[in-house]
Amino acid sequence: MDVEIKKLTRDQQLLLYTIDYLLKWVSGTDDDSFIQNGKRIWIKELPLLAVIYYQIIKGSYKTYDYAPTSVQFFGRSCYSCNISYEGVDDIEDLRELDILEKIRLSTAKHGFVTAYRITPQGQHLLKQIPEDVKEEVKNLFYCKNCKTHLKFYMKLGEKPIIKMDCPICDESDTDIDFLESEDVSYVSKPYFIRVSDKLVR
Amino acid sequence: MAVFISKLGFIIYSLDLKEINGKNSFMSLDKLSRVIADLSQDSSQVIDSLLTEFQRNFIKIIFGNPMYRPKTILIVGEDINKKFEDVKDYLDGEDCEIEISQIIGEGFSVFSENDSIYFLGNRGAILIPQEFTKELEYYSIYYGIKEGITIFIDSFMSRVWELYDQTNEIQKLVDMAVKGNTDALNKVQEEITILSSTISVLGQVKEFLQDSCEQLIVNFDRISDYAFLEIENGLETIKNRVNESSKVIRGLLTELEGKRDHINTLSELQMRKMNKTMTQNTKSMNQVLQANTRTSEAIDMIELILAGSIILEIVAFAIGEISSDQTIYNSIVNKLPLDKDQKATLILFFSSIVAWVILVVYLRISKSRMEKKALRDFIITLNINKKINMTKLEAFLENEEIVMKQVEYDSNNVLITYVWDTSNIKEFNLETIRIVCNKSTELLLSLELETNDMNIDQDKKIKDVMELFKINNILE
Repeated sequence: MDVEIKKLTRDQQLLLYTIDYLLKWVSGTDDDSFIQNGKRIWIKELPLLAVIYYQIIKGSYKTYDYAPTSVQFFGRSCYSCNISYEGVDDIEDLRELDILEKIRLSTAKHGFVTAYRITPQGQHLLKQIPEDVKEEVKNLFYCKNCKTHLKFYMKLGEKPIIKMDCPICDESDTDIDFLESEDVSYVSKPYFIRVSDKLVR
Repeated sequence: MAVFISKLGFIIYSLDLKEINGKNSFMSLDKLSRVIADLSQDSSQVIDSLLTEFQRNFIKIIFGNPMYRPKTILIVGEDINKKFEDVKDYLDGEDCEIEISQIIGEGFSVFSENDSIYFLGNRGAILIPQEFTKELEYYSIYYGIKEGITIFIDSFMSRVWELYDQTNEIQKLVDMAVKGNTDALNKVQEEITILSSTISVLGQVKEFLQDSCEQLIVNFDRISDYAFLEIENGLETIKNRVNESSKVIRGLLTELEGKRDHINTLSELQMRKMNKTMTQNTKSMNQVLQANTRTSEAIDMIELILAGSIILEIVAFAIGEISSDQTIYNSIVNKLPLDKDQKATLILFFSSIVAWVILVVYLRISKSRMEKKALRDFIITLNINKKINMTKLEAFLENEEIVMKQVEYDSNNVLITYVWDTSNIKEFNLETIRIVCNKSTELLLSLELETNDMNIDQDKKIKDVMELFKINNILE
């Protein structure tokens, strides 16, 4: 399926370029093969969603929103992650357009992990992405003070840590509150279930 | 928030949401998801102090942090902003489906009945009934229980399979131990113990789960036909999965038992090897000891000869050489009277012999004393456990020669050990007295008397020391 870049929305272009940028960054190469130590690099879904959230709060995406969603890490603890379902939808759209490939693997902890990479058609489209979109992505990953490439760090476990660090100065160090849901005010009253007598038999 | 805790192991947190951000009708799913995130954490905190150590332990094994254990969410709405006439259209793969997925999980199904709509997902359900009857409440709770147990058993089985994977790691350690790696042998024993304890907890959880499932099935009231909730089938499936897990856990225990036996055999083999080596070492030590004894005896002989020579040398050095025309032998054979010089020589000769004998006796005594000192002291130990007055004991020991005082603290006790040097107290005939007492309970725990007199009257010695304590009012 041949797709033109104009068919993609600006947010989809930004998302595609972000994935490409992260893959090149992780593989440490400008090569489109994204090969590191002889292995092809994929980007995991959860870190990608954390990056999308970071981009949303920095104002990069125009149409994306986010909401806390319960996600089980390693088949164990369940955290509320600020996931953008518009982002998830666009990832699926890019996959349907044969721009992204998706892989789902079982982990050593008997959970599942989903990851993405860009198809050759996606690579072709990347060359047509407008410069302003590219700049938007690049600006976000560079320290404003020392112009060093920021390091995205995500450690999931008992105490998950998700942050963006500058290896040279601490000017751009940011904790990404991907796991903290925004407070909303609500009024409630206890609801006593009416069928408790049936449940205690 | 109201909390209902069932003896079957499920907890229901329920509340009536009146308004979000000041709005009391048509709450958006985005806002609702923020409230749910807040409630999920609050509900864990509410119940946290009520959890027993066993519950906390198994939740930790299965879900990690108990505060972040997954929960099933049921939302009951009075009305909905209908977007589609055909409920199947909610599964549009776009905004609508995604918004609902974020609350009840991906791959949900949707049903409608009259004007009621039900969205059923693997993390919960959104129900918009025409009327929220008691019957529907009952069925929706059962649906929540079914999905809740499914989430639990998914994680439970993941842990069981993870443990199975760990047995492979243990096998690697066993292989290393077989090759003689003693560190691996120690580590594998530790690993097996940890694994067995985790399996034991999972085994107990499985028993509870089995009971709960059976009870839930028995209790389930089939009075209505909310067949699309698939409660009965779901509970049966769960029951079967729990039963399946029994086999896996049993298999795991058998495998671990086998590995433990293997390791025990390896440990025994190593012990036997060690015993053999020790026996050989003891044998060669005995041989060395015998050789040393022979050498020592030879040295003794040389020592005696040398002592004699030294005496003669000293005498000769002090007096000088005495010469005579006749040898003493000639004078005796020819029955000639001994002259003055010969007499002096004889006197000197016998004096030297006497001095030699004295020196030999002295050396023998010194050596015997040294040997006695080198012998291991004889130790008499007595466990006492008698009430004492610690203040008086401390006051008494202040005036004595204490060579060591050791204080050990544990959660409730202060254990004090004194080593009292009594070698200068002749009437005791003891080298040291070791006193162990508990300061917290004021108990004299044990006495250890050290002596080098192998023929000592043990009972008398203990009696003497106890008597001394009595005289000084230490013993109560």
